Amino acid sequence: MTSPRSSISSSDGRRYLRVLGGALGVLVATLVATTATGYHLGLVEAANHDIYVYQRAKIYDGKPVDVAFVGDSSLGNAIDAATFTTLSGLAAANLALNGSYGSGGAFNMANKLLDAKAPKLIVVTQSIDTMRRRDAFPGFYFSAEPSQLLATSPIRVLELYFSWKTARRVVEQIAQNGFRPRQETFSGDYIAQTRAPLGARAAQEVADNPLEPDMLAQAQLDYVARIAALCRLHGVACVYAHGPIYEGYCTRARDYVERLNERIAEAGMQVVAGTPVCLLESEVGDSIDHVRSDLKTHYTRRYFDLLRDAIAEDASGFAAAKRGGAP
Amino acid sequence: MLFNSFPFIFAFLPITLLGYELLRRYGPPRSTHVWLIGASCVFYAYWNAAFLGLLFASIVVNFVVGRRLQRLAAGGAPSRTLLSVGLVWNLALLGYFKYANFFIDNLDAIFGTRIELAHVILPLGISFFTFQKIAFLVDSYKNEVERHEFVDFCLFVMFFPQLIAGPIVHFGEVIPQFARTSTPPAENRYTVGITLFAVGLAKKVLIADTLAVQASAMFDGAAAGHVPTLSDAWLGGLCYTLQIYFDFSGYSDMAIGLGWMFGIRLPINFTSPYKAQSIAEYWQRWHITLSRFLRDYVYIPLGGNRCSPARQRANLFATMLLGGIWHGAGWTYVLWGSMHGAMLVVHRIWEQSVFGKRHALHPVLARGATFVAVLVAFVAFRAADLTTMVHVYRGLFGFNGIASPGHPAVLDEPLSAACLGLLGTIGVFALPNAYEWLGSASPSLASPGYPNTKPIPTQRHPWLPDSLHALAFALLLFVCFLKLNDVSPFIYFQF
Repeated sequence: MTSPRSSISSSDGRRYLRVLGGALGVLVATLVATTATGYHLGLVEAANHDIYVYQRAKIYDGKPVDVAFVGDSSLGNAIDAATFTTLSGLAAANLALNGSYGSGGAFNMANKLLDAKAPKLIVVTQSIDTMRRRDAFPGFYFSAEPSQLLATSPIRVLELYFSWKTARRVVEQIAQNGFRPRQETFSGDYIAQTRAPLGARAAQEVADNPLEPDMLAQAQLDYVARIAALCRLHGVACVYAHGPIYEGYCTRARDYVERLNERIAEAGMQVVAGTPVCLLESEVGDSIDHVRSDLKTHYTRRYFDLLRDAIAEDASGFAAAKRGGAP
Repeated sequence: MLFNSFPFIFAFLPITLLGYELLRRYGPPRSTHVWLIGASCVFYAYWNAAFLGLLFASIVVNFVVGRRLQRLAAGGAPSRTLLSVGLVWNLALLGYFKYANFFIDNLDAIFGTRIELAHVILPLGISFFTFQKIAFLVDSYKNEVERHEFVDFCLFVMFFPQLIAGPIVHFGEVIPQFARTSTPPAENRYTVGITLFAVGLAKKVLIADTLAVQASAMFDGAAAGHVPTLSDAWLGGLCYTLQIYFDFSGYSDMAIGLGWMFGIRLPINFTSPYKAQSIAEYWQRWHITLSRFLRDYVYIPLGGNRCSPARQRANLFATMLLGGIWHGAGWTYVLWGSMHGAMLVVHRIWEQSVFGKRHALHPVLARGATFVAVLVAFVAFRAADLTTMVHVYRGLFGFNGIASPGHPAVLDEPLSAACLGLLGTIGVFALPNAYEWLGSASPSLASPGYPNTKPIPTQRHPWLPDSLHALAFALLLFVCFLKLNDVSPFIYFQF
């Protein structure tokens, strides 16, 4: 076989590669810079620094924690740590982030907590809707400590920054509000609800966004498994309690919840019976999985009742829950 | 690992190329071979490392058998028994991994049994590398294989650009290239290789994946029990016919582009198949490396064109039936292969008839008829099962009614499907293929007996290594990269 003929001169080839590489580099750099700006300034939901900073501070405040809740906004809006402390007689902390952080964020909060404090029980509380969000890595990435990122694949990070969707959202945000991120107002444990309750729109949401068993996101479940492994490593009891959700989903997404419960059990965590707690239309706040603000104390009480077994006051204090967390 | 993924484009490929270039310049002879074998192992293991052992075992057995066959053939005593042993080994592996589930399912269905067998997972690319090794053994038996080392053989089977979905290469095509001491200039390799890779990537992520949404809507809807109307069925069928072309030819372009980045020319696999004016010509343009394998290792050994017309037709049908079965373990593939076999037989009869010799169809009509025939056959290929296939065929032939406002449509966006279908059809009929466009810079290998694999350079707006084309390709690659987050495997990975 003869050596292949070269029909391209060296200088033409070099110039072609230089122009192609240069132009591609500029385009990629522009996109990455745009998304990075958005992430850095907290212009996109996946990097809501306000909530992360607010909740992270609770871990390093020097106060003891017996029962810690990690999860998303369904938790943030449903459980008031102070009320739970009063009811249980145990120091409770609500470390809820939001659905964009998902299980990745919950894992990191649990991890930080276990490094800094000695909780006896960790309750993972997330909306059933969060468990269908395919990408859990952003939540992990934006709530990770720098040392954790050293072991993170640069390709995963590139995927995160190389996103047209995010870049577009950043540009839209900048066009609307300039470079200022949305200012969150905190009320007690979590971000205050500023929008009107969903009301009759809740039913429409169920129709528009059905939850089917095949929608479950493995990436979210992987982090649930990591939380379970973390709890076993530290000898801490962990349970999974679904966040509250509009009752329409309780009836329409039964198969989805059933499959989800199986998968959570496979991941090594016991699901608290009675969850998800179903919200009447009149109880729904500004999202299908947010309890109306004025009902937060009531729902804290309901969750306390559901978690009684997990925090059974026996000799070891948390033996029952430990059994659930370490199958 | 997918060619259209972040890990491949931003990690695997740059690292592999860097290592290759360093070893090419500073490493000992054959160190590039070892490097490429290692890289190919990583590429394959990224999907499922467990099957790497199977791949290696198969390579070792074939190398040993092949070496022995070559010695015997060189000594004038070729061993048919040993060849049979080698073929049985390869076919047994393929048979177990690809057809065991299908076989048992059918046994259960026929005899009402409940045979227990753990679900067998199909090793990625087994159909392709098995055919490559069968060709090697037959060539060894015929003493047509050049002298080589184990490393060469490993690379022949494992070279990652063609490992998973072809092109199915012959030993004699690539081994002399691996053995070559000089490599084509890097500027040429990268300029053309990246351009061809970009063309293939665009075909896959921008065109095929967009068409897939419409095609899947129709076929999945039919599988779920919805009844496709005439317009649904034709639009869905058209979108799938275009999708599979852009998907598989895109993969092949990427493979050939990647091969060339390492200085290896791989055989051309697609040459504008939908421009074919007959079904026979279609198979000279579609999946050429499979077509020539079936010709050289099935059709010709069965007697080829040297037997009676009736026997020729039977051989033709059997060859295509085998081609269908090779694609997948399912009755729909058997039917697809049978349809193509039947069409080739009818074409052969027409060609040999006095009427056919005197009355050639007008080229436009011939092209249209061939395209429609291919589309109709692809319905069987795509349908999830026989029931779905019947649903779609009923729609295709008007038994489910024509689209009407009162009729529930299977396609959510028939207008989008129609526009996409129209644009795609214009593209495949009117535009030159990538190799014609690249002209003399095309890095592909021609296949003897397949005249279209020697592309005639296009005169209208050919590709040139200038700044304008470089900018256009930078933009094209960038747009393609934006779609990499939507992971979608190639259709032919399932085979």
